[in-house]
Amino acid sequence: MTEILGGEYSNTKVSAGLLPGDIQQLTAYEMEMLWRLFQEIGRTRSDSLNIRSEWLEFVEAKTSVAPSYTGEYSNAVSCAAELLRMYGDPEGYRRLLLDHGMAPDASPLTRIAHCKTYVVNEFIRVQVAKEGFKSWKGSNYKGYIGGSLYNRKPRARVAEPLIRIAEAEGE
Amino acid sequence: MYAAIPELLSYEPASRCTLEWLKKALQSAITLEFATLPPYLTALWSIKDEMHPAAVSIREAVQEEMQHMAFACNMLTAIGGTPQIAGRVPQYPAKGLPGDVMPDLVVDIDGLSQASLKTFLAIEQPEIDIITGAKPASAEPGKFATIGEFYDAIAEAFKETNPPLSLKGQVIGPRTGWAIDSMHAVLRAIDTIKEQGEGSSGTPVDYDPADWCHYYRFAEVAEGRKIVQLPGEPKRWAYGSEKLPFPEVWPVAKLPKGGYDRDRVTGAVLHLMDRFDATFTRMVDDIQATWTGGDQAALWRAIQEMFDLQEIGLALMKTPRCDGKGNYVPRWRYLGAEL
Amino acid sequence: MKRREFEVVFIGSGVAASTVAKTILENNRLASILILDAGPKVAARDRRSWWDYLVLDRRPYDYCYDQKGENKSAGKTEWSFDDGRVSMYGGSTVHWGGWCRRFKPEDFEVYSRTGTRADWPICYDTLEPYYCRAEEYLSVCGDDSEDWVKRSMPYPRPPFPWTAPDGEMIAAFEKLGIKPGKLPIARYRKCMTTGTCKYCPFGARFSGQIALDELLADGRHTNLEVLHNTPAARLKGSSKRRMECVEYLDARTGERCEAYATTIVACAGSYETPKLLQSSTSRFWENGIGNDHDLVGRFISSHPFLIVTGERGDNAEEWFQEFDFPTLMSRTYDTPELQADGGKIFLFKDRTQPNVDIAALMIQGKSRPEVDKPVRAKRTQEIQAFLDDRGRFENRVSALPAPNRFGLPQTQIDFTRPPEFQNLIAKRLDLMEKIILAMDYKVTRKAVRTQSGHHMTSTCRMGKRPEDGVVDENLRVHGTDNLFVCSNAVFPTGSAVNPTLTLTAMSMRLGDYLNAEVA
Repeated sequence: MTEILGGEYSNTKVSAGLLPGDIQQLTAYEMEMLWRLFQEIGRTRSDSLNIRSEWLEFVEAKTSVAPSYTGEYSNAVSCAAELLRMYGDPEGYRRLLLDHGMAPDASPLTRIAHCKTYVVNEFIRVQVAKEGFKSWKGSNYKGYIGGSLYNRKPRARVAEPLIRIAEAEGE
Repeated sequence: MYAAIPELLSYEPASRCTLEWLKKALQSAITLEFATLPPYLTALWSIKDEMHPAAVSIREAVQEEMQHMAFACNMLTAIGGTPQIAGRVPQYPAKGLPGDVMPDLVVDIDGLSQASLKTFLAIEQPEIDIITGAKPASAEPGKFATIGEFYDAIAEAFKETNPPLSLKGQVIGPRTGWAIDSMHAVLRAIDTIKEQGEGSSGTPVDYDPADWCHYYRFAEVAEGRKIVQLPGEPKRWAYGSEKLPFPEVWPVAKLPKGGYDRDRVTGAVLHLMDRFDATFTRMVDDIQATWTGGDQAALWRAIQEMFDLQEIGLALMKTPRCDGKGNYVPRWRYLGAEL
Repeated sequence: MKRREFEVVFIGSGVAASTVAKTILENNRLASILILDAGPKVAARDRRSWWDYLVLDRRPYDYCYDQKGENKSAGKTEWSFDDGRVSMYGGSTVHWGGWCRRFKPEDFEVYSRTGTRADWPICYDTLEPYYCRAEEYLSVCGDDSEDWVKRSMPYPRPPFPWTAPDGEMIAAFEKLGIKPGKLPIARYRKCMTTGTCKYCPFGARFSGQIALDELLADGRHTNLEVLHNTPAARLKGSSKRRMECVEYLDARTGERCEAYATTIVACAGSYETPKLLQSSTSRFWENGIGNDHDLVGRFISSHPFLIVTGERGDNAEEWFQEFDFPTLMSRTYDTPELQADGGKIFLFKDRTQPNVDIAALMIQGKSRPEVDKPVRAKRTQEIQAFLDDRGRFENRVSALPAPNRFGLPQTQIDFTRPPEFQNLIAKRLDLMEKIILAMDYKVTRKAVRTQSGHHMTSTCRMGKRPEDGVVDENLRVHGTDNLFVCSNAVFPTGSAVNPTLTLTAMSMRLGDYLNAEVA
């Protein structure tokens, strides 16, 4: 990376553990900003709107049960707001998602690193598992609710031609 | 299936284009879609081989009915209504469907049989049966003869009123279709419901050429033959030579009016029936919670409970009745406050 | 000391205890039963736990695995305790894959056929009806057209299909005369193929926890009780033959308790069951219960896990993992001929390959074209196998003085394989390598994993006489009237396939036996 991402807020030093936020509640504005961030992850690949309820459930599970991510989500919203102020929209998102220059396994010691580790990275995992993987050729993925075995359509890409040959030979 | 919904029809066609009418119409659609599930599921479960082509076909029809209900719930939510499911479960056997639809049709809880298929065909009847040419008795003026006409009226009302569409409370994820966030999304959902229910413009298939709409799925099972397209005639279809053998079913007897006499069933059967109804009630409540709070987790719980219902229901359907008339079927009772 | 009384006390709460308990309760709903588990209870189907599993690859029961420094590998062959078993309410079925293959008739006749190890005191035909019941109970999805072993009933559920990448390996199988099969796998109807089988959000795979939760939720079982965080310390008898009670610690209160019982069934797996018998010394049993012939804890047997990986330089089809269980397997090398040749193998294709972690690339900040490139650049496939192990008297499990986190004694494993075993491994790996080569893949890895106890058996083996085994053919500890062992530990020998289906069948058989004894 040639440039440090974000400004004063984003680069404030913090400890690596979860930012405190228990007993707080996310505001409608924060939820809106988080949803926008989530949609940006899918923007070039698929439509995240199709999984809005699953994303809401994820955020609910992460904020209503200990250890709560509420502090992390609030922080991520503030980081995103600073990036948008500094770089504009959507350039701020582009830098956060594609040009962040942060090592995936580094300990998060700044606010922007927290935003990346605890929010963006986890959102990416949710987005890919629930919807994004479909834009590569798969029919199923770890975390995707594929559906019942008893349906006519197989729940994964199957070795169909070979099965047909085997059946024909059997007859 | 929506041949007569008196409350809705008290509106003159011209005055149907109001938000108030639209909300009532969508609620009726939800109640009706839900009411078909117990008879369809009981028939499906009665098929011994769950991979039998008839079972696979009916299972898909049931799943699509569930999705249609989800579409209707999301459409109602989008325009500011709250879908009501919990208080609107009929008692079976039902005379007519909810909303006084088809008041003379008796909807039984029964296994798959020619009699139950006849009921299902009546429920799903299209404008014209493209194979036999049969038409439903023509509707009285101002009434809907088919599901398609009913949804056409809903689409018209959407277009006329052009209401703002809110995402809040909609359940948008697997098994519930897409977000109702634009007129395009509304019309696409309505189109899907129509195509999957009765087929599109003179063919028994919906969008997918291998996917039969519900009426013809039931018709094939009843006829015992697969439907084929006549060679060189893209608009003509007929029952072909490929047989669809009627599946082997558990010998259940239809649910007696008023249910079973608690004193005349064994403790084990009573236990299964009570467990079934308690699970059914939880499932209904979870589906209600899904749309009351836009709660995806409640929908996952409801899906688990549907599978539990099958396990318990099948145990009943494999148990002969004491009176020798056949095997038991579940009662599908919503216990509400009793639980 | 707190004293309570029951008809049957189980030590352990996995597949064995839950299945025997269920069989007893089906016969007598009011049977008074206590089930003790040393480990904690971890909530099943918890949504937050499931999301954390998906997003952080963290299972909610990770802390119930053996931890570094808690146990000791003391033999010449390294023994790994990692991920081998789960100490919690529900036992190791909480993490099992649900692969359900029956043993073959020759697996019960190892001594007669090879002159080594031991015969089972029961044969395949004795167990066959119980296999059918177990398959129904576990809801096994299998292929009725297979003919690996004689079966009297069809599978209760249809099989999962072969996946697209399986097709490539099936073609190689056919070139080599290896018959492809569909892996019979235990999944309830409600399986929605989420790929998170180790913590299923729907409870679509059997676990002892779900089975016991259901028994407890049934209001008719008024005398069933299950306690977690209750490690059993020892068994006490009033005479050599008569066991009286289980002494256990209620770790939540710190109280020492005694559970008196008409019948005691030790279902604590192949590590803990022998340790408990060894620890239960008294004037009647100076070397521990059932251990007059020094057989308790011996003959450790567990699958050597063989792998051969191959790679090819493109993946135009963009294949990646879609199911969380294998679908392709073969028993072509699971035969009496290979048994006689030193050991048979059970082949299966690795479920996780080919694979690319798309999300990881996105997390690194890769753009769409930068993700597409590695996805399409190459793919790996892996053939894996379990080798039928040979238990040796010298290989032994025993207790160390210090307790582990759950209050059970730590474990020592003395395990040494003879040098010639490597030759057998090499021969079997050669068979597997041919498959990868027939796929036109370049072999990149040919190895055996560090030995672990995932499928450990034989540490309280069955035998007709006390000199041959710890328990008799009805699983009763020789020399006692009312102490039974139900665990993989009783298998006189393992086989090339996973043990759980066989253990479930044995548990049903024991349940029937106990019901008949009461009658």
